[in-house]
Amino acid sequence: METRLGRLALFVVIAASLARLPTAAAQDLKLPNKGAIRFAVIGDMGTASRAQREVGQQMSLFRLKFPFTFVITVGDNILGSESAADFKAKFEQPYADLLKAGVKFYASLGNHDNPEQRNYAPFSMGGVRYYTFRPIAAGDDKALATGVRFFSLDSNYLDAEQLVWLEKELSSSDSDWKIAFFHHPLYSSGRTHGSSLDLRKTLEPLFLRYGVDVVFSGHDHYYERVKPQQGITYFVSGSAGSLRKGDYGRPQPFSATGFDRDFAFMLVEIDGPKLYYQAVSRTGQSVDSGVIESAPVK
Amino acid sequence: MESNHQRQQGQPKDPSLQGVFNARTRPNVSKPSPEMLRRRRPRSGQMFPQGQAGAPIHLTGLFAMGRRANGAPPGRRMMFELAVAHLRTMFRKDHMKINTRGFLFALLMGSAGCSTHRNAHIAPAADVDMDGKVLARFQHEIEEYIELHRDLVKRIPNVGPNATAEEIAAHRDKMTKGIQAERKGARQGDVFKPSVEAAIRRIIAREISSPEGQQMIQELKQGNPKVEGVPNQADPTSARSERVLVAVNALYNTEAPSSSMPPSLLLKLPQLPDQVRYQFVGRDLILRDTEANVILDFIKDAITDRSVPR
Repeated sequence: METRLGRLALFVVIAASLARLPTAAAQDLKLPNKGAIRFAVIGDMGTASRAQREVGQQMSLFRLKFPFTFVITVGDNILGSESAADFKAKFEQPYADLLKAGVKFYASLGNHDNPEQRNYAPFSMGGVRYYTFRPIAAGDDKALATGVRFFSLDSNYLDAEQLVWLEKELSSSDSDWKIAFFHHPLYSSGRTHGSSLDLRKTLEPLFLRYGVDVVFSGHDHYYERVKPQQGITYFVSGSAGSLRKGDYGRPQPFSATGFDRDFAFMLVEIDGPKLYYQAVSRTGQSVDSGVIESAPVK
Repeated sequence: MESNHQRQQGQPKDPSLQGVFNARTRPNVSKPSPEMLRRRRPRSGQMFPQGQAGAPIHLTGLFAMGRRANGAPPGRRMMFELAVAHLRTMFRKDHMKINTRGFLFALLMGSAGCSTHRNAHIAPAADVDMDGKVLARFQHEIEEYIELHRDLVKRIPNVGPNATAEEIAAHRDKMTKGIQAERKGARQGDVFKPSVEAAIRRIIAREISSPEGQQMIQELKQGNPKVEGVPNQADPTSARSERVLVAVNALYNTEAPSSSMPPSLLLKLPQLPDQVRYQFVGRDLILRDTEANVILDFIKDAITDRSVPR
């Protein structure tokens, strides 16, 4: 009798473990997979938790189908202590496969990040708190993709100097796609934090004036897509290593959809005037997908 | 149909030629017209895209330089003022479109007036409502601190933008110990002198009691270690709180999060150099060296709003 019970318990444990492991068969890609610019979005991930590692594995598995070349982070890259061992456990190990494959990470700073992360080579910040870059097109490591420009901001400390810089960079960019990413969401239904209204009051006019198309943020530990606000689509992608279940319990009227039942990350593809997005859970299931069309440049 | 760009150019220019942060210290918050929403982009090839408040962007940049030139040695400040005066004349004469040489001259003088002033550690935001002498005293204290910081960096060189995790951690530890040793005996009020403290309290109280004050309160609670915890490694759906000891020369707990600084409030406080920043721990405003991770000074109960825990 005891042996039978022991076997049954062993079977339950093994089955439960297998159910949690990401498998190659689980990936449910909804993107056309033909655009020149392919990237992933993660946020609030640096916990060194099992969930973070599983999200990292899932990203690697998806990359076999969808070869994204870089990842943007929307902050809280390293939560808690920031010793050398922490950088390894909270970043280098969970994304070891991606780093080994040459996938580049472009970080922005969250409220758990020490600003000195700007000097950490794998974060590609060039020693500054805020920066802009144009991504390298897939399959061509020399030619720059001219139509897309990213703006990484430090939303923890949006001082006058950063705002002057942002206006200068936005106004001088003639890219078809202007994509901003930073930690605090301008629109969020999160019960814990929600929308950063003071930040919105400061940044949104600049985004509107200079034609920002898409904004990625984190901070609230779930996934949310916001209905276009005056032409700009906002995403909250803050559950790649932390999660607040039930935080999307009361969606605001501006919300299009959300997912707070499991950890998640995003995959994005830009093909000319179209930006395709997909939010993927830790188990590889698609929780949201769609397409955004860029406003035509005249 | 007249393009949005043309309409913007047709607007009267701000007579004082104030740039975006010179006038209100924050971008123009007016909503764009439907036509603007449809277009939303500056015309490609536009030579001088419009800045905020109708000022061309090159002027916005010049006034940004102007903030840097504040407090510069008199010679450099004079060069900057000369550049502004020259631009004013050009506008009066409406030579802007044709006088390229004049514009280049102004740009050169403006740059000379501030480009060598990269060591300007503290530039007052235009809207800082602080007595000139009080502000100067605060500037002096900050500059003295930055001098100390820089002396230390000569002995403990910066790691540069391609550092490893080990290099960053080792550098931070050395900086922490170095600053703590150099400032041994530092006391509360050394940087926030009583007059400075009173002025900062007044600014915060005024902003918090404004109609948008509650938005600021909500934002400075975010990341505030008295409000927000750190997700647990074993179960990242839960969080633990991390205590931050608010004391002069204390290490800012590296495990703890940092409070957001609402931009509207930040733009009203004297601007700080990159090495130091304002933050809140509970209701206390702290001045933190982010490189050394050390609390330099603090103002107890700078916020009186009871919804923010002590």
